[in-house]
Amino acid sequence: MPAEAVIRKYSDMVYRIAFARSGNKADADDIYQEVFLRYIRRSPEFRSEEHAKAWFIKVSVNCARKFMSQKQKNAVTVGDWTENLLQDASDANAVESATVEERFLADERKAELYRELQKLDCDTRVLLHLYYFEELKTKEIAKLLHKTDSAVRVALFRARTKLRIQAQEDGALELLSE
Amino acid sequence: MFRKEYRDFMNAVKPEEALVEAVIEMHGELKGASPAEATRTAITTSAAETARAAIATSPAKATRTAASPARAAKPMKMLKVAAIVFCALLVLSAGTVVVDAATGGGVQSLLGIKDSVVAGENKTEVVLKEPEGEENYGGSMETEVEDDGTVTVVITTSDDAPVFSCNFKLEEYNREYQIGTSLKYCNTKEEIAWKVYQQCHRAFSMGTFNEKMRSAIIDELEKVKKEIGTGDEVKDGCAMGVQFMIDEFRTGYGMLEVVEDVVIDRDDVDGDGDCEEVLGLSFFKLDFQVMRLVTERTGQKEFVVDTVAGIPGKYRITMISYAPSLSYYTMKLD
Repeated sequence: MPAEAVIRKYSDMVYRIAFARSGNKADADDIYQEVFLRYIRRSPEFRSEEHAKAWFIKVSVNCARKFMSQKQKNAVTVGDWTENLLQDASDANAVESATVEERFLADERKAELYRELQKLDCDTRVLLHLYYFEELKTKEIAKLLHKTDSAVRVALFRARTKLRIQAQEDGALELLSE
Repeated sequence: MFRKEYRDFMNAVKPEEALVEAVIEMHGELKGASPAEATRTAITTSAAETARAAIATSPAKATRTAASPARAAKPMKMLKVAAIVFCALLVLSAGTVVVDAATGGGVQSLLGIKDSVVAGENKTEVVLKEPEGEENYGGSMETEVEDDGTVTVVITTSDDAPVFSCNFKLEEYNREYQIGTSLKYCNTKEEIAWKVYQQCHRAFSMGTFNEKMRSAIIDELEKVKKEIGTGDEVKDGCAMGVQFMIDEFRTGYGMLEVVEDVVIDRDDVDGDGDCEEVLGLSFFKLDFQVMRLVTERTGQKEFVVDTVAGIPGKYRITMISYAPSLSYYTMKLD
């Protein structure tokens, strides 16, 4: 498959993983770039679509982890930037200029989910994303993240439980029910 | 229910088309370019590790931990002042490379510098400029490469942000591209520093270096830092970011191993573009890279380290298997 087609094919997936991990557009943009720069630099030969997908997921997860672990040292807290986003959202009146986060926050339901997700740690958000959005099996996730299958299952269970408790406390249980 | 809600939620998350186009364009420009082949074989260095090291040893650490609520309470001002969107579009013309600032989402051209540069022939000019034109909440990074090898990098920010340029005269140069970053969510100078550092790093990690080149770059960056000056959050942040880069070059902590002019990437140890995570412990990798090199050269397989993942202690690590062609490394941690 030509490189352009590969980039287009995996763009959304890479970006979503980056966003799941970072929770904001600016960082997701940076992580996205890093992933594709690695792809461009190395021009890996993929044996199959599955191989390509696995490569992009792994590189995305690793780049995001690397990026965020550094940024974490300097970043404002999640609470701080969520408040900033809320402020941004209230100031944003031009739809086309709104960032992904602002668009979410304009939709109350999505805003609720966004807030609940941001309360989870970033590893857990990635885990949920791979499971619920990319629909990877726990075994596949385990292989990609260098964990055991049971560790992934336990982490998913804990994440769901935590989300449920959070949602209950915040009165958003319906949103997060299975 | 959760699955559906989550899928609806994430379906709205997509990269902007301009970003995708920029990446594709970057690929197109690099395709077939021989310097790209050179950099492909060069293993580039990691930004995160080195910035981490720089931050850990810098006075910034103290100020970061003491960042006041008042500082955090002025994000809007900072958004305007500090929103540096590095976004320059490289347009090739005959013999000369001209970079145009774009309004966002463009391709940024940066330098990839080959190891054939002779330090003594580097010519540098650092100019402090005032921003021109109407108020600009973006900013840009522009690079010009003339056919005689003179390279000019101009970084502009907005309002009272620093604006500087520096010229390198290179015998040969190796074009590379990077796309932009944004400081939108930077609320402190440390965050600005990290982004600036990251951009610098992207520029410099594209090529391979020898010792002469390294020392020449340090001189350039010192001048740049001096020109940026101090006095406000943005200037301090940018200067700090440049300092991180200087530290990296000076201490060699980031590009620790310059082996036959090839810079080893601590994250991408096998050079396949992936960044390996060893046991999921990022700090461990610092030691891991050194260990890997020692194992390669001496055959030693057991190591004792005093920090793993930032946790002090005595750890014995045994290299069990190592395959350069694979992304995985097996090690035992006691």
